[in-house]
Formats: sequence, structure tokens, C-alpha cells
Amino acid sequence: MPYGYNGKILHVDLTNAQLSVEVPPESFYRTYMGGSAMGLYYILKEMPAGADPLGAENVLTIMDSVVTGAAISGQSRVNVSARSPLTGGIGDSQGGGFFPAELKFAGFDGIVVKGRSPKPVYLWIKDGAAELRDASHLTGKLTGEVEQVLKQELGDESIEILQYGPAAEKGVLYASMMSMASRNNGRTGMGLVAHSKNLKAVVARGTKKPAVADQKALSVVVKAGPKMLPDNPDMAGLAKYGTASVVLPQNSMGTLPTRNYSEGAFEAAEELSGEKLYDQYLRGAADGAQDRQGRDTCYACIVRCKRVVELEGKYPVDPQYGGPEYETIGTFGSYCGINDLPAVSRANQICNAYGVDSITCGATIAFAMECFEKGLITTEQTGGLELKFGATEIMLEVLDQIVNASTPLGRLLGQGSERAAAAWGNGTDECLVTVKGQEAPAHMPQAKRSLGLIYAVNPFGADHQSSEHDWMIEEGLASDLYMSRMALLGMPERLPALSLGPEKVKFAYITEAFYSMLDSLELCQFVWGPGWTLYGPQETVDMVNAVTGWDVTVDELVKLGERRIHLMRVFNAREGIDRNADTLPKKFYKALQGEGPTAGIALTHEEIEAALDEYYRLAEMTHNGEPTRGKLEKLDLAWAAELL
Amino acid sequence: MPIIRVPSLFKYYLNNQAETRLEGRTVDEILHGLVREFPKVQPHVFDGNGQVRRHINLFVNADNIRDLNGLETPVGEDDIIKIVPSVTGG
Repeated sequence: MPYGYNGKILHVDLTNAQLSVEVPPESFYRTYMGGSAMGLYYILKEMPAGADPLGAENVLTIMDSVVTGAAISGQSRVNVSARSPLTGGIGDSQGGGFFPAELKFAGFDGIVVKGRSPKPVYLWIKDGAAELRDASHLTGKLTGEVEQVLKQELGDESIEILQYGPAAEKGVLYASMMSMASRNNGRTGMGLVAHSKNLKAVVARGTKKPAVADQKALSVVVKAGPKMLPDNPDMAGLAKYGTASVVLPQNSMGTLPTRNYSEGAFEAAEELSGEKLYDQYLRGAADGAQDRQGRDTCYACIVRCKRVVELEGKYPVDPQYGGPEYETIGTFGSYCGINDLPAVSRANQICNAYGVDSITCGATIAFAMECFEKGLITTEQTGGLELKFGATEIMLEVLDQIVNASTPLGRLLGQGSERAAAAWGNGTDECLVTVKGQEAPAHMPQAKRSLGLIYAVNPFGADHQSSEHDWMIEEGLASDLYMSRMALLGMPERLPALSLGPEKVKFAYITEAFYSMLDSLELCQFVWGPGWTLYGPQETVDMVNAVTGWDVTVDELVKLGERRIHLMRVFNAREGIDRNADTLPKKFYKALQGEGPTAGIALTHEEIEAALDEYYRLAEMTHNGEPTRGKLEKLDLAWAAELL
Repeated sequence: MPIIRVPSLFKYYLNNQAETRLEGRTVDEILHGLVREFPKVQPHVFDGNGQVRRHINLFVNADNIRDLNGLETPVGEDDIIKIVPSVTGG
């Protein structure tokens, strides 16, 4: 009997409305463990090269891991992968909440979806049984409405739902998958892929929790959490103020992207801060009850970093849709030159209600604002809107046009900024902040040089959750806690600020592998990680072994992370995506403007090219960034080499 | 005199210096001396109520002042006070 997981993968053929259950051997679970790595196994085996991202041949995977649902913080995450309609390469999104654990309790570790249903359907999974049901009546409904309809229809308030929203039905290229109407599997357009298959939702309900191999050993790790949290200033800030706790530090360091990444300090950062959000806008703040009413959690997590905003007035916010994360505040706030948290919270609600990636969406609007400010587009392209930085009402108007695809501007921006630049021409590509077609998050590589490298090489485009950021190992910032954990990964020495030499590239690659492992074990990167988080590498090993009964080591887990990285690159190589796509936007090479510590700073082509050379060497890829047979065999992936 | 040291990017607020020597008998006195001499750094260390910002960690040599006597921690002639902001997450 497996510990921690069910040993069952559900296969769904939507074209033929057929469901089947696979029971893979333990060796399969030990090799891939879950999440993105496990999804890639099926995608590479079952999706032909060159498949249309929105065609029936694309394969969509929804994966938990061997530890999802264990009663410990930071384990209820789910990965959704497929070929991305936004980037053309591998798509990858991660999200939390209660759906991931519920799927596990419903009897499956993951779902592999192929084909296309002739009409909208939802997949209903309950205690090991699964069926497809008609979902025609859900078309056009907001995610929160679908939550209500399905709970009523199934007569169970405890079901969990993963769904695409109306934005996918309108063809928004970065449409996402939503659960709880507030947890966003945001990146790379997985909601649009699900819509192309007419798979409106996956609905899970389960009562059977897989057994844990060593409950006593798991309890040791569980009980350490509440003791360690108050002593970890990074975690204490995250818990109370959410991911928005980082707004002010980012601004002080000059790394709060401002006016479409043209500057690194925003004069109104205080208005967007996590402290302001907590003090004034969380549900219950007026009565001082926001700790109870305005902080939400994922299954079994003690951190409770999720925000719940409830507002009336000019920008009403329904608490059902949660509250903005740092990234949403960054992209709809400082990125757009907007200093109004209620308006940003309203934008967050719209993104969640319609199902779009708030990073790409806010960044795309900011891109259009810069194009307008520079006169590269005019009111002719904007439909008469004065699309200027800081124009709060217009930002919300454009967002409405995007999610409803109601105007030519909205339909174009719904395709992301690269396609908008291609349509507009006139030098608008100079304003892009994209990698492989995906907009960059609100962490600036100008001051975190290895993050620039990771933005470039990450197979699904610019992503801030794919490696540890430079400051975790830099002199003047890296604490003894960070360094004691880095030592476990073979990096005991602090490195100079703003460096991108071979040692920093090693840091980038090893922590990328560690994060890649987290995205396969589906662990929250605000709870588990190689540096600042509640739990470090050793606790990760202890937890996995306690849950599964295995004897993994840090090295084995890092190898799992490498496995995922190389499988993603195999996927991309099949599609002709290699070093030629590992490039950064022109803006990153231009000196930042404005005030603050990063004004005047830019990346250089020489350092990035040298870092790419070193990265490919360390990763044992070709000089062109392609996977090699030798490395794939070392990673027990000889089968994947046959695909090259 | 004690030395106060800041992260590299904070040099911007200290006329491009990573550290400076300041008179003071406690961490509190050193911090207030710092913002008197370098007013640009003030809003990045103190909030609008004059409190040290939540995300600013302060060390005397290797020890976090929360494990000592807070802002009233005494500092000696050869001590090094370090400002280390929490810059994680998000």
C-alpha cells in the first residue's frame, strides 16, 4: 500500500467521453513524485510535437504530488500543465487552496486530459468514482457564480472546483484556472487550453485521506512550524501582511517595477503597502478583527498569508474573490503608476472572477500605457481612451474590455503585450517586458542579476518562483539562517552584491533545481524552500520521508528538480525553442530611470551571455541550450532523449 | 566610534557609502544619528509614526537586537550595527 498517495492517475479522453484509471508502480512515483514533473511525463509521451496548443492533440495535466493532503503547512498545491498558447512552449501554472487536497482525498493523484468534448462538460470526482457531466449551463458565469451553482447542484458545500472563467470563453490568451474563485493557477494560459477542450471544471469531493508512513516523524516537523514562525522575521511578516509585505522593502531596494519597468522606486509605494492593506482594507479591519476575518489559508497551513478584502464604495470588492497578492499590486499598481489599493483590489477581483493571470494582464496594460505616453499609439488605437500611467479609472475600463473582449483594444490586449506590439508596430516593441511571450513579474533583475538569468532560461517564460533570489546569498542581506540552508546545497559562502559570476550562476542553477522540485512535490514556496522560508531543505527531506516511508536525500530531491527542468527543455527543443528564445527584453539593458538605488542600473549583454554559457555548462546542456542524451540518462530519462 | 553598515543598494541613501561611523551609546541613538546625517534614508528605516519599520532587522555585530535589549541595546566604540531589511516573498 502506498503511503501519502493513492497510486491512481485518472485519464480522461474528452473526444470519446471515456475515463480510465492507471495504477503506476511505486518506481514511477519515486522518479517523478508529482506536479509538473509528473505532468511532463504524460505530456511528452502522449502529445505529438507541433500540436496546436488549442487543438485536441494538446495534453492537459492536473497534478498533485505524493505529499499533497498531508496534514502539514504548505502542501496543498496543484500544477496544471500543457502546451502554452501564450508562449508556444511548455505551459506551467501552480495554485493553492483546498482543491489540491480534496482531489487527493477524492482518490486520485492526478488527471491527464486529452481530446476535445463536443460540448462543455465538467469532471465530477467523488471518492474514487469519476464521470463527465454537462456544463452547458455554466457558460458565461463568473467563477464565483459557478462555485455557487455547482455546490447547489451537487448538494455539497464542501466540494472543491478547479475551473476556467468567462475570459477563456472570450479567447483571452492568458486565461487561467481558478479554484475557490480566489486561487489562481495563473501563468501561461492553462484556462484557455481547458476551454479549448470544453473541460469547464474539475469538481472534487473525497473523504479518504491516504495513510502517512510515519505519523510520529511527521508530527515532529509539523510541531516545529508554530515554534519557528515567530522567530523568522520573513515568515512573520508574510503571515501578518501577506505577500504584499514585500512592497515597501522592494521599494526601498529600488526593485518595485514602476511605470512599466522604467523605474525601480514608486513615490506612492506606501499607499500600496501590505501594512496599508492590513490596516485599512482587509475584511474586519474597521473593527480590528482582520486577523480572524481578513486572513485566509490553504488546507492545513498555519501561515494564513492569503488576503480577504471586503469593500464598498467606489471600488466595491466581494470577499469571495480574496485579495491582491504582491504580484497583483505590483502589476496593476506601481507597474501602471497607480497608487490606489481599493482599485487594485477591484482589479484583482475582476481577474479572479473572469479567470486571467493578473501578472500578464496588469503588465500588458502597463505596456500599453507606456506606448501611449510615448506617442507610439494614440487614441486611435485605444478607442479614445487617454491611457496614461496613473489613470485608475481607465486601467479598470481597459481591464473590463480585456476580460469581456468587448472592444478592438480589449481583444488585442487579451492576446498579451507581444502580440499587441506586433500589431501596433511603430517601435512599441521597445516597451515590452516579456520573455518567450510572457510578461515579467514584479521582481527586478537589474538588482537581482541571477534572476535575470532565470527569467531568460526558464522554459515557460519570465517567472519569479523558479529560483531563489540573489539576496538570499548576497553580502549584507543573507542571514545566518539562509546561509546554513545554502550550505546544505553546497553553497556556504556569501557572494558580492550585484554579481553574476560563475558562483552566482551555480546558485541560480541549484536553487532553480530546488524550486523545480518544489513545483513537482507541489509545495508552497512561501513555506518550503532553500533559504528564508518556514522549512528548509532538511525539513523537506524529513517530511517527504515521513509521509511516504521513502529514504530520499537532499541530493535526490535536487535531482528531481533537475529532471523537471530538463523535461521542460526537451519539450521546448521539440518545438524549436532553445537558446534563441532565452533572451531578455531590450528594456532590461537600458538604464533604469527615476529615483532610488537602482536608477541608472542596467543589465549588460556581455554578463548575460557569459552567464548563459556557464548555465548551460553546469546543466550539461549544449551550448545552444538543448538537453543532451548524457544528462538525460543521468537523470533516468533516457526515454526522453529519444524524443530529441 | 561605532560603525553602522547597510546593504549595498542602500548606499544610495548614504551618499554612496556602505558604512559610516556615528556617535551614539545605543542602537536608537545611532539610528537617529544616521537619519540626521542622511535624511534620504529616514523613510526607509522609520515609518510615519517614528517607529522602526517592521521589515528592518537590526544587528549589533552578529546578534539581532530583538535578542538583546531592542533599540536600547548599548553599543561600544568597536561595535558594528547592521541594517538588514527582510526582502523575501512576493
